Amino acid sequence: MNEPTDKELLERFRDEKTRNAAFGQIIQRYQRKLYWHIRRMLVDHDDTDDVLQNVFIKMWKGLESFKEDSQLYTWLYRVATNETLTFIKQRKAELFVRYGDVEYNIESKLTDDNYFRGDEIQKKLQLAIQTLPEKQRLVFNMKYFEEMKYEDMSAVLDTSVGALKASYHHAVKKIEEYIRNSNEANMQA
Amino acid sequence: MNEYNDILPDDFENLEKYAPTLLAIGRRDGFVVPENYFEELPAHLQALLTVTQAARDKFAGMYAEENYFTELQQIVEILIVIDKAARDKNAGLTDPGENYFEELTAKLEALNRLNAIAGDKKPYELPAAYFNQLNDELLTKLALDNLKQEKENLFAVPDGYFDQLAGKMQSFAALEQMKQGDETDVPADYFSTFASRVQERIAAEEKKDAPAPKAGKVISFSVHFSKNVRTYSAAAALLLVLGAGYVWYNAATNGVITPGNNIAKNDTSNTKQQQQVIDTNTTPEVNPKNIANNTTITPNNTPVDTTKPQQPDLQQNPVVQNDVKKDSVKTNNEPQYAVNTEMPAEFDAELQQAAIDYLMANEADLGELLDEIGSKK
Repeated sequence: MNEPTDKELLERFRDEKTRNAAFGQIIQRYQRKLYWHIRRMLVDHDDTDDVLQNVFIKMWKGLESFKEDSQLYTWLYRVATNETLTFIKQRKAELFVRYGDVEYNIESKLTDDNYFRGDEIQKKLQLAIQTLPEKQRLVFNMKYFEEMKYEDMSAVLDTSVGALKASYHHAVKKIEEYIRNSNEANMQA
Repeated sequence: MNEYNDILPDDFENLEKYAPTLLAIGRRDGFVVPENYFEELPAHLQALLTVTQAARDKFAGMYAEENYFTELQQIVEILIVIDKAARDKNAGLTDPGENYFEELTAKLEALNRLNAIAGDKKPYELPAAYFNQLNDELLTKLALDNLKQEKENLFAVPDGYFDQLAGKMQSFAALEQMKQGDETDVPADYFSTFASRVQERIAAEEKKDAPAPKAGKVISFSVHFSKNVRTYSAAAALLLVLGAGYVWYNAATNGVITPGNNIAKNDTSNTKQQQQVIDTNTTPEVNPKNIANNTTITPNNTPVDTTKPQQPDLQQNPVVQNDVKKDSVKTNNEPQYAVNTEMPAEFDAELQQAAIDYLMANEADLGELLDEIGSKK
């Protein structure tokens, strides 16, 4: 049995009889991609879960008026990205009031998170990624981990492909430098 | 894209070249998800959406009771009155809070819209800039109320104020008049020329009262005395000591003083003023009773008790008056009079003390002075 296309799912969603079923299918199709897209930005599973649920609820509310000018896939990524950035902004404000140091909070999250099973080098990699500016971090994650095409990224992030390439290249070099310095510091210690 | 192609190398994605460490780590991120998370997520979201939908339905089913908005107008009116009364009670100085008027405007406008829907007019339509002026109007009203309440206290007068007012005002007017008179009655340059005018008048008076040409020379003794009172006093005392010693010496040797040799000699030791006033060729009129009573005759014919210590005339009457008449002091050529040559002890002591004071005041050496006296003798 062939999987329905996004267009077919949208038609089913607009029909009230098949709406719930279509909604379930859309979730199953995009939940993992959206989850990891959000998780690599937020690190924490619970935060990711909250944001992901908001993304799908917004999809439910907004999908009826979705005009199909873009692909459902691109639209959902855009909603997820915006929700994630909004969440980060709110959390930064809270952390600034509480601690004044966001990175420390992320490191402690990596240490304390029950759903992080990475080794030291993977932890270093996550810390290095967290040092990047938010948009550069998005680009790096989407390209390095999700292996998304620059064209798709451009549609989601509304940025030119050339800028995305440059951003990715700079992000790679920064991460490499951070990990090298961290390794050298560990060896000296 | 071109602008980035210029700065990006062609092999910018070559991790082996640009990020070998990152390449070694690989694409493992270490994150895991709870078991069956993705399997349960659709059902979970469906349940969540059901709850959300139910909430939305409940919201859509909300209704207002009949006459709710009509009663709401009355409620809002009552609330406004209560609010105003509360602010009046607090002297109107409480801050209604930020955005209070904006919110109230929005509420009233919403109410107007509801009324418009119901077919009513707009009972709460506000004049332009109503809320901009409301605060000032309230403050003004409060200030007037406060004034009204505190009117009696503000304008209370002390007891008997009006009874005393007329007298006070009259006194004040009189003082003002005196003050103005003092200021306006003095001619210009009155005080600046006052000293010179007084001196001129003194000079005129002196010229007017000037003695006859034959009268004694006028000496402003007060000037000399005031300047050198101590010096003159000491000098007179010293001269008297010397004179007394001389008299005593002569008395010891002759026992009789003749007017010619004694009084004249004494006159030479007296001051010039005395010499100028008293005619040494005359002898004062002597009352025998005075002589019998141990009195001597002063130039102005005043009996003096010689038993008592006497200050020299210059000390008692340092200024020789111009009006001393020549006739008032007379001398005659009558024979010698017996004179008590014994000096009272107090007199001698006082003279000695005066001499010592003079010496100390003039820092003279007593030994030298005594030697000089001795050599003269």
